[in-house]
Amino acid sequence: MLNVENRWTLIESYFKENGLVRQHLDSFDDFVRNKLQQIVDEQGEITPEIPGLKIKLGKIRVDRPKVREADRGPAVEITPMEARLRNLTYAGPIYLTITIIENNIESEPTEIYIGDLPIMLKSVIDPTSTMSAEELIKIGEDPKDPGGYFIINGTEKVIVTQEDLAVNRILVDYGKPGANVTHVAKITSAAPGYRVQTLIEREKDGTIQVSFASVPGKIPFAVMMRALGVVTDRDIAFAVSFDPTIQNELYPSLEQARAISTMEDALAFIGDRIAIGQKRENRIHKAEQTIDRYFLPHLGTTPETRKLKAYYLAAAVAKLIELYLGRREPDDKDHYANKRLRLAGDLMASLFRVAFKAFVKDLTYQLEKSKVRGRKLTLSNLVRSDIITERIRHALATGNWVGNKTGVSQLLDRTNWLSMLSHLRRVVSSLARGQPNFEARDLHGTQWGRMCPFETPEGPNSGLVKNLALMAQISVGIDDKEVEEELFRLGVIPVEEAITQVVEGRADLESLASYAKVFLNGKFVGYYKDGAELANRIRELRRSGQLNDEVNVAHIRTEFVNEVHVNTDGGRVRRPLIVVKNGEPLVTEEDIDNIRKGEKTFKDLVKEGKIEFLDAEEEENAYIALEPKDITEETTHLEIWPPAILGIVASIIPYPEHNQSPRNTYQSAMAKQALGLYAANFQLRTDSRAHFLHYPQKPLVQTRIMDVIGYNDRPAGANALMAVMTYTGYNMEDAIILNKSSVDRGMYRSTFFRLYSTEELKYPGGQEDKIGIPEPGARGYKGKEYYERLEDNGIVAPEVEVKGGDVLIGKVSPPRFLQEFKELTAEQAKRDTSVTLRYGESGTVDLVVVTQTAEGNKLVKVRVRDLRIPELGDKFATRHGQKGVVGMLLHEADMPYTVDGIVPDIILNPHALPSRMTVGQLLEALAGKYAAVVGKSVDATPWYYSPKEDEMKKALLEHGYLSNAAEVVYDGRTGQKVKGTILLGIVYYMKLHHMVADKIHARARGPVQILTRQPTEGRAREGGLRFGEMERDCLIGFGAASLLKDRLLDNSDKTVIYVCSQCGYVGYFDRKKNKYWCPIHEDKTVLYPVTVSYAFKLLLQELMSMGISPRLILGDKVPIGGGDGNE
Amino acid sequence: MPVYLRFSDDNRLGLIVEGYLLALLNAIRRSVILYTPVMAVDEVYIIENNSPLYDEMLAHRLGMVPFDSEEALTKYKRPEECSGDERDCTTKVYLVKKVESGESPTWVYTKDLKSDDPEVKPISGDIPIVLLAQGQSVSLEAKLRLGYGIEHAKFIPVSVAVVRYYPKVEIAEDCVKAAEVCPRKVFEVSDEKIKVANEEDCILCEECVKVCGEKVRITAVENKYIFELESTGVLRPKTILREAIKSLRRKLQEFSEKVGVLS
Repeated sequence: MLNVENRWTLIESYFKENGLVRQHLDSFDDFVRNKLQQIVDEQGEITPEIPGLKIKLGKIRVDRPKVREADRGPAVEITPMEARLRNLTYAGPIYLTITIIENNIESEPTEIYIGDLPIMLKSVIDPTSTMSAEELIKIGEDPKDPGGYFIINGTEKVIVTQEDLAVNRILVDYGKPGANVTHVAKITSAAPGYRVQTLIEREKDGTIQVSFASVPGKIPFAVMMRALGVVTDRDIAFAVSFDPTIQNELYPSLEQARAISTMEDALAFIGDRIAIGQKRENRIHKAEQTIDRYFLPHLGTTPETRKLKAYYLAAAVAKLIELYLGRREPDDKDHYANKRLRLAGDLMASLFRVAFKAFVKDLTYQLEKSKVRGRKLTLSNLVRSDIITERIRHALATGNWVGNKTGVSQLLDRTNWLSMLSHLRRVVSSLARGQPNFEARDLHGTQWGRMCPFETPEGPNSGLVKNLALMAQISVGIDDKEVEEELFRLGVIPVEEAITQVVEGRADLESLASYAKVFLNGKFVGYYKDGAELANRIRELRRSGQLNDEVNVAHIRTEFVNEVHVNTDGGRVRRPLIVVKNGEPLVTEEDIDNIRKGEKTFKDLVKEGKIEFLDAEEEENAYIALEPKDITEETTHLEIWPPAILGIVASIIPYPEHNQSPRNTYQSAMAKQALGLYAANFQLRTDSRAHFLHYPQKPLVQTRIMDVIGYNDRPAGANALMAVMTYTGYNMEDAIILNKSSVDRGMYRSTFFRLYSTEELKYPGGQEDKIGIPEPGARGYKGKEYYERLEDNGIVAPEVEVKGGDVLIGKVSPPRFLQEFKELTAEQAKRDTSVTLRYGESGTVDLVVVTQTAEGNKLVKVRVRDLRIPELGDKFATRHGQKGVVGMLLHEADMPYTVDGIVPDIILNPHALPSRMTVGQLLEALAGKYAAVVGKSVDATPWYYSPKEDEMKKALLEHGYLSNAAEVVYDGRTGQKVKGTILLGIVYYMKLHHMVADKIHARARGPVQILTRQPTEGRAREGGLRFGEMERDCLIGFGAASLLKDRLLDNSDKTVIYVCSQCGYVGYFDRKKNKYWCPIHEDKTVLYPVTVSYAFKLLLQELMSMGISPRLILGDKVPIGGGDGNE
Repeated sequence: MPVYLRFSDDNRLGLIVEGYLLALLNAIRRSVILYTPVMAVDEVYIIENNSPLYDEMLAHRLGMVPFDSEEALTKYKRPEECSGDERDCTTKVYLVKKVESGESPTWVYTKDLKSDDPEVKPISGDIPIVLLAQGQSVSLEAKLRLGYGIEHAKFIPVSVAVVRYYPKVEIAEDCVKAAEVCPRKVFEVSDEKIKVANEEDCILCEECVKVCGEKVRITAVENKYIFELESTGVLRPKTILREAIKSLRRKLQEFSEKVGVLS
């Protein structure tokens, strides 16, 4: 029997073999190995407009990561850490073999450098993928780093997996209510480099219309079929279906196209839409071209594929009619069988394709230009390598991908180990987050084992941003040609063959109508008598290794539908299951023993057909037992490890099945904010900001997955003794009370790092920045005391204490505009562009790096560290979505103590529990206490945890504690016994990165904005706190006029302007002439001072700039002599 | 008002105290934690440190090292008598350790600390401070002084300081279940009958009352308390108690003097 331990061995073996970011690596490897060459082959050759000249493109190759230094030496190999430190891109040069053919004479093939390709860490072409732990440590890498990301200009970038609707598939749905269209079939065709949509609509009158890109309007279905070469009504009907009921539904369509009866007519009809008013031959030619290129291009773009397209269209119409007849349901767009994931390799391929096209275009241009000048062709001089390099680097650096997608590449989240892993396994849906898309956000049954049911953000992205489940794998995609041949070998009757058989009377209609339709990657390939048998035969071929194990097959059988779907394409989310035959799982205890002995691996079991990967479609045919004891005669598969339905982050929650489900979701978000050991090489890294917990502990209450994902080696939290009681009241409203003495002893101390860096830039015109101590004359000079901490080279020394405003790196830059400071001396014209420590922060200089960028510029990086001791207002959380801020730090002497003199570290308010129902937390407290008492950690893996509650309770009692983990406590302040008992257990608490030190802010006076002269906004700019409209409304309501004026005018942008009493324009006081001056009346008028808001003055000037003349009519504030003040 | 010894060894002291107010006993308990002078590292001058630990972490770890303060109590002045570096306020320890390149990583222990005052030394030489890899070295001097627990946890002399109620266990009727649920084995079962075996171990959790109801009666004896101390090793338990009471008395003295001056 496969008990829990045995199946766990499988899981361990799986992760040992695959790691945690297999999808990215698989995808990128495939890109480098196959797709790259395919893209080159798509282009094939370059034919510039030079007679007799052709350039043949051959093999493409990517070399190891290298950097070309500015001093033009040969490219030298770099390590990832060097790339991170020097702001380099971890990229390898791409070499392309090129053969010049001049007048049919081939030259010697030469390999030329065409650009740099960023290399995914730990992919096949990354040298670090084969290094041992020792070697990795030597080059400054964390030996456990999973890779799967890129290093672009020194920053780590992840290409986030994109979720898309499957392409090349017929998806049917109802039309919009009230519209003329009753039913729709939609096909998105994806050909290399572009995708187009085809719509097939059934209208109220029963006719079926086709519309596709680049042909305006709708084309009747029958016309389209004729244009594709299926001319007669009979052929059209047979192409659609052999079932008379379905054929009957074609009458309106056939009737509609009665007048167009030949292929030529049909083509001319379509051509009429594209090339209006042209000659008939031209129209036909144009129509043929358009159909080949834009109608279902995924089936091919040559005239030979038209028949194929016709049958595909017919199959879509059949599906549409079936929907109309109620024989099938509309396709479920949220079913994971209809979803595909696009990974790094895929996305890099589309990026590279565009870059390569641009490269070829440029090369053609250069060739032509060079030829015109009559020069001899030397390719290496004509190739511009920066086209590909820059396009790819720019896309990765900004996240703006081809096809106007944004946020595709993101900065790798290095808050802690989990957040990094989770980021590498994130999946983003392409659906707009603005629209509700309720169904798309819901958890779908087919996400079981594919996407984590808990880990998704709250708010607008809820359900659209997902994370891969532990065992989910993504198919890379294989060529379906072989599979198609195999299908025909198995006896699938091609569509055309079936039709001729019927027409020639060799087969009877009724039996063919009962045959199953066979689809390969959504393409209708033919008929087969027994669909179930075909599916099983394909499965057997796969299990025996005769078919690629990426092939999945599903037999969809309902009362009316009988289809076999074979899939080989990439991007399907698949998960491994143990194959069960005749009520027995094929994986035996012997296999497990062999794995334990190291004689077998998980892969071997897949090869032997004992474990197979199912996609969501094939899973529809599977009957999966959760546990070996659930296996019956009908069972086809056995789940390997049910807890693997969770993602990485949710897997660290102990007893999650005892929590209310949203709590696990909250926890999944919070675990990514916990401070811990984010990477073992953190001392060497130059992250722009980072945190590091001083004494991280591995949790006493473990889950099995923790070891596998490396959480125990890079933990983010500590085991704290938690008491659940109200005590003092300083833990109301989700606050927690911390034991000050524990904090004194080092509990939850952390270090915060921030990086400051600057580069000595070179400007056109020979000017350049200079790093050093600025001269007092420079513009923006801050004053001598700010530069005191700098060494002679203009950089602070390590271990120097610095505070907000201090200069860390002194630098002067040339003036922005040369003419601007002509009258000044060269020294005075210089701008001080020193790097200063952020306002409100302080710390110790931790690390100073002085190096050079690839361009040869001097680069200085200064890392400042700051010790963070837990204080009032710092945020903490358990692993159950229970977050809270520190409400009070109590001295040990004031804390409650047990009869054994034990004092809690944290006091949690009991009100945090009943409404949230995080029973898992109570169980964790019990288990944590048990673990501490017996001296070994507890396994709290969902469903399989041991010891069970009863055993832990018994052990607690035996060790002198109450079985419910409660204890008798005394009030430390009075010595009196507290009534009742208090739950006291060990719970893993995490310190989250929201700390008071980063947020505390107040302002009395301070900087103002230049434009409006109102106080600045935000803590970073020492800004004021906005007295907003609603606050204003309050004061108006109160009638507190003076206070209102104080807030809105006196303490904001109060100014005095001088207004001309004659024209009402704003004048000024001329200090030189000592006169008030009106722009119209000059000094021949009286100007009165008026107090206004500066924003109002600005408004007047803006109005003037638009040609509006605002005038201020002055009057007395208090009327004198009975007037109304306007005279 | 008797005081009995329950147990006593180098580090632990247990008393049974009768007739004193709980408020007083708790004041003593708190004084033990808050106002007993203890020697600890307070200032660290780091001359060299290229170990993986930052200066502040290293200093914190040195602060946490418990030093034998038994003799120091008489030698050095109390914190309230010191404002700076006066005589008899502080003493120093030194740490110099270097791991040459080629050597294997080496732990620095408290035994590597060289003390100016031979009577003020870590209570154990085997407390690890930092692990030095090859080529790394640490060189520092640290200043120790007497301090009170109220300032920082490093000056707390005890790991346990408890005042608890003296329990009284009465069996009105036989109830074997009481023995099963009692976490502290207060009851003994013989011949299917229970009897009170370890009355003083009862923690008043009243688990037995939950299962047996009126058959057992658990009460706290009025004005009788159990007082327990466990020292961290810096001072002998009796010294701690004596010093704590001394501190308390000094405060009372001061208070009474102040009252005395009032007209």
